Amino acid sequence: MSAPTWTTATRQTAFSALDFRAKLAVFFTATFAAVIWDNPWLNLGLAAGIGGGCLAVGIPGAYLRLIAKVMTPFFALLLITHGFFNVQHVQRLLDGRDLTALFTVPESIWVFGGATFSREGALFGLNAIAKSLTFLLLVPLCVFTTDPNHLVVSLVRLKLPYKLAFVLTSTLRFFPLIFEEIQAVIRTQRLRGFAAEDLSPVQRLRVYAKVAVPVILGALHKAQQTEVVLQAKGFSGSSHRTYLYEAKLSSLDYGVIALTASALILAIVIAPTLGQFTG
Amino acid sequence: MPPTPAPLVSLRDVSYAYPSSTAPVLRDLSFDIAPGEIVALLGPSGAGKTTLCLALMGIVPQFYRGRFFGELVVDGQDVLTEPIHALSRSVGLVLQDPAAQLVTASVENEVAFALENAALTASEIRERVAAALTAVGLEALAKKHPHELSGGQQQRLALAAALAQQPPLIVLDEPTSQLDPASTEEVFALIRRLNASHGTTFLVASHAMEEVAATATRALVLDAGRLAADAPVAEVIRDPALFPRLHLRRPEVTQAYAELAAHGLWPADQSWPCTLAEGMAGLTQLPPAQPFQPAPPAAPDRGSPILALRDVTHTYPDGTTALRKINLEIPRGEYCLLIGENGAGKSTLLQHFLNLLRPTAGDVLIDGVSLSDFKVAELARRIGYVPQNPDQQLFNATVEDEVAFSLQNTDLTPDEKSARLEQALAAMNLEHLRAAHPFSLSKGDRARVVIAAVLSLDPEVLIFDEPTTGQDAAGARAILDLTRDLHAKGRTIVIVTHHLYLMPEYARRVMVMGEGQLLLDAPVREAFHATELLARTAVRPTQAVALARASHPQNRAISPAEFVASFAREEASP
Amino acid sequence: MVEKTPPKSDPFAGLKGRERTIIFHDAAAIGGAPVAYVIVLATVIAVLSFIPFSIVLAGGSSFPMAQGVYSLNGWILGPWAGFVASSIGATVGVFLAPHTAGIPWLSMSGAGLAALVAATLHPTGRQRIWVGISALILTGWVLFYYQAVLLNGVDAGVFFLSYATHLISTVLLLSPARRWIGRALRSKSLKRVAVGLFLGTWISASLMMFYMSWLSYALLTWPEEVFYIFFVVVPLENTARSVIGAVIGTGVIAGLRSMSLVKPPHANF
Repeated sequence: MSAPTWTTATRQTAFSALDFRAKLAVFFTATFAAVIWDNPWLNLGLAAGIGGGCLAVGIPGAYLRLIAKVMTPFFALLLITHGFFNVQHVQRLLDGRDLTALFTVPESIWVFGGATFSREGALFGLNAIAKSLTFLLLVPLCVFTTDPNHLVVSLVRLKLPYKLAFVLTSTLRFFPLIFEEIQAVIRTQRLRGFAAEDLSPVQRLRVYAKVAVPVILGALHKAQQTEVVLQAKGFSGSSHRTYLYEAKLSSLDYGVIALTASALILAIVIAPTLGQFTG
Repeated sequence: MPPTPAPLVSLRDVSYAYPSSTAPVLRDLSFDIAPGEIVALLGPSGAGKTTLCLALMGIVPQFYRGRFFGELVVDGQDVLTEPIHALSRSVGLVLQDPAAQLVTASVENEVAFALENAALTASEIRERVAAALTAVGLEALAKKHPHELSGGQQQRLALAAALAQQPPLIVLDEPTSQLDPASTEEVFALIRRLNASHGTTFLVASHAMEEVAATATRALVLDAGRLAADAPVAEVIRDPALFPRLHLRRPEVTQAYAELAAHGLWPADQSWPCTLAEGMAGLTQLPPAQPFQPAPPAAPDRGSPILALRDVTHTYPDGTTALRKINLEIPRGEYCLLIGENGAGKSTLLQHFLNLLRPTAGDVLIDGVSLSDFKVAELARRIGYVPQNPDQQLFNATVEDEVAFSLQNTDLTPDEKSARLEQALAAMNLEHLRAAHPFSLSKGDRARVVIAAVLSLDPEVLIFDEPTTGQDAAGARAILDLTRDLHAKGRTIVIVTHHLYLMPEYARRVMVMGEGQLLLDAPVREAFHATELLARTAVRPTQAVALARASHPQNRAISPAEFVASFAREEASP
Repeated sequence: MVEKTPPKSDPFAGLKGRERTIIFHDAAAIGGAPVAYVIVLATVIAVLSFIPFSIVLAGGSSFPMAQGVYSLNGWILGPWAGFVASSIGATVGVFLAPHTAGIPWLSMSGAGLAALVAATLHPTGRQRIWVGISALILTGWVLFYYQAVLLNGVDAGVFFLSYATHLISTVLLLSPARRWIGRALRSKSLKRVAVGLFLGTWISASLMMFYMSWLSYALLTWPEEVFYIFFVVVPLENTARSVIGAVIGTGVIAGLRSMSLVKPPHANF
């Protein structure tokens, strides 16, 4: 298995060219809206908008298909759970009115026999699905359109201490290295005669856990050398430094930030009325 | 008379001990380094070379603490009173492990990092980054992630990062120990070029004596922390007592001429060549060489091969074909080398031997049975694999547990397991360390623990992947002597290595890989002299082979001793 | 007359140079721990986020091995360095594979919380951090109970039974047991260390999951029937995380004690 790598959007668009700070404004506003809204149609619209944005900026189709593959069972479970079982909570939100039954499971079916799938419960489930999708899709939209090497400066301009921003990008540097080491340890265990497939779950637990120990110790051993290297390159963690890439906000960035600020206000204003769950 | 320029580096009675050391690891060192010099730092493992390299930047002792004595001044700065980040503007550092010294996620950011820390303007950073990358030949790879670079490219990147700071001194601590010969040559060529073009002073700690001899002008030799020699590099290499006493290896050309001199074939008043060019020039002063082509020892008939590949092709999911219709047989009891440049397919081939990969086409057989009939863990009892990096192979809390780990899943009786454990510990001299945590041991001892762990399963075949990387001459020889002992006891040995000069007295057969194909499978003598084919795989012939071929078209000597023998008065047997 | 044994020779006697005072001028540290340590442990977390630890349950369940290791950063690096390492490691895991993270920003902050909780399991009690975390967790209980039981009609018994694991962990966090656990981690006996790690991971991983459950419920809610599943899943998963934490942590601490690495000042092992 090769190390997971930073996925990059395939198209150079105006959104990709935005500074990460502008994208964070979009991220924050959309997340906030998804949190405070309980209207399934508004949330579905928001999720569709974010999804459309992902397609427009060129998030690889293979990645979006992977999300669909991984999340579909979870979303199906959400829909079934809310549709069949979320009765009391939904009724409370609808001032106690009866729910509209879409279909009832025949009594002969074990466990679920007699359970009723309600329209309002399904809508509530859709609401949960839409929120989850929004939270999930915002990450590729904002992160995959950003060069990881430019992240540091944008984060520092947001007053995040440079040391913390540096930890983030350095982690990206070392990720493939340590991923390979863990593969090497797993390989070694097999080469020393350990057949994990023949072990009981408890034995497998012990062996899996042992994979992490040499990786962590090796990483800390390497850390001492990395610390030497950082010293040798004059790294003192001080914020008194300059950057190869200068993160300057363009007029488009300011425009996007202003727009998202307005959108945030709008989201808050409409939340008490349009944003409520009405079945 | 113009005044002598002040030394760039000045040590006066410098001694140092780490917090955990019971005695100084550097002792009373006094020397100067002038601007523009290329100085080699030599010595056996544990002599204090790395400590000295780190001391020149103040990392020792500021970061490591301990006890420090004497005065060490670099570019007018006392290493104890100046902060390390200030000293870093005068000294660049390149370390042994290419991967561990790159800390950012792109090539250009890596070069820019130190300049950003020094708060240079963005335009000046861009200018210096471009210049540094051009100087090392990486300008086309500016946006790449360091992980996408080869080991040699990573070291060039580390050098670019050091160079961009424009320090007067660059210190390199064994920069090529993990690189193949072609990359090693690149790095040393770069050092020479940068010294000539930029006037940069270099201090290089290295065991790559052939390259050192061709690059450095002066050598400092450390022995148990003391300065054993400080002289022009040729003088140090030619010292008749120094290298043998410290178990250091001379360049092959010097070894050859030293032996010629001992046989009275080289004039006593002439100094021994230290570089291949000098050695080639010296041939005119030697008596005529004789053809030297001893018959290879007859391969004993050991029946069917223990390992065989039949038309093996392997294509990875991304479409890369790493192996193309490989056919080879390894007889039981053979001792063979597997060589080839990085990317030739050696690792893929090894993984097929170990059943970690299955062929896309063809079959791999052990004793005539397809490997696909075995699980990896079952095969481990017949084929032992000792990888390059011991640290990835240690995952138990004591040496004893580590060695016994492999025995847990076997069907041996407790007494048999105990006996195997003791044998393995004894074979690697680890009995006194059985309760120690593997990570508390030195790198050499950690490597021995891994070998012991593999030996505990008593496999018939042993594969060693780059066993001599990072070792000094004595350490490398100890490991290879072990492989010879195991071979003498009937094991089949396969060694993957770049260090051809170490192998003539051990290996009998060589397999050369290139571009996924088996280019050559021949006795060692024939393989070492297949120079045109080796050139295609970026494997350099050894100096002994180059000298032999230049001395006589039928001289097939492959070691300094054989080269000397080709000048013996009696005709060598055809 | 008693013969005096000749003094062992001092290996430092006879050195020509004068001894110097060593001052370390640079201090690139996060929460006292060297930056490089934080980087590599964040990377380990990111990598372990891709290694699934699967145990087969009635419904099938899988979580990444990293969840058993978030807490270890709190013990190796100290509270704030551990918080940074675990949360940034989880963040990178989210950046590389957002589809594995559930609600991404909850995973990121939850990882950091686990390290912080672990760091408060200390002989001194680390009062200030402990007060903050306790306030957060107690607020979570109140709000979660209010929303689930009082507003949405989930049976109180079902609510508490399904989160009994987290309730126990909360009680342990608030009790003097946290100082005992902190002392156990420093014990010379590796068995005692293992027990401390098991309990410490139990508490920190459990409270991390409680935090994530509370906020997930606030955002998404779910009916009472879903709580029934938690009766079995929560204690089983937490046990698995605690075993991972104990096994890995014991191996790591044993190794660190043998290696002569520079130990972070706020480490607890």
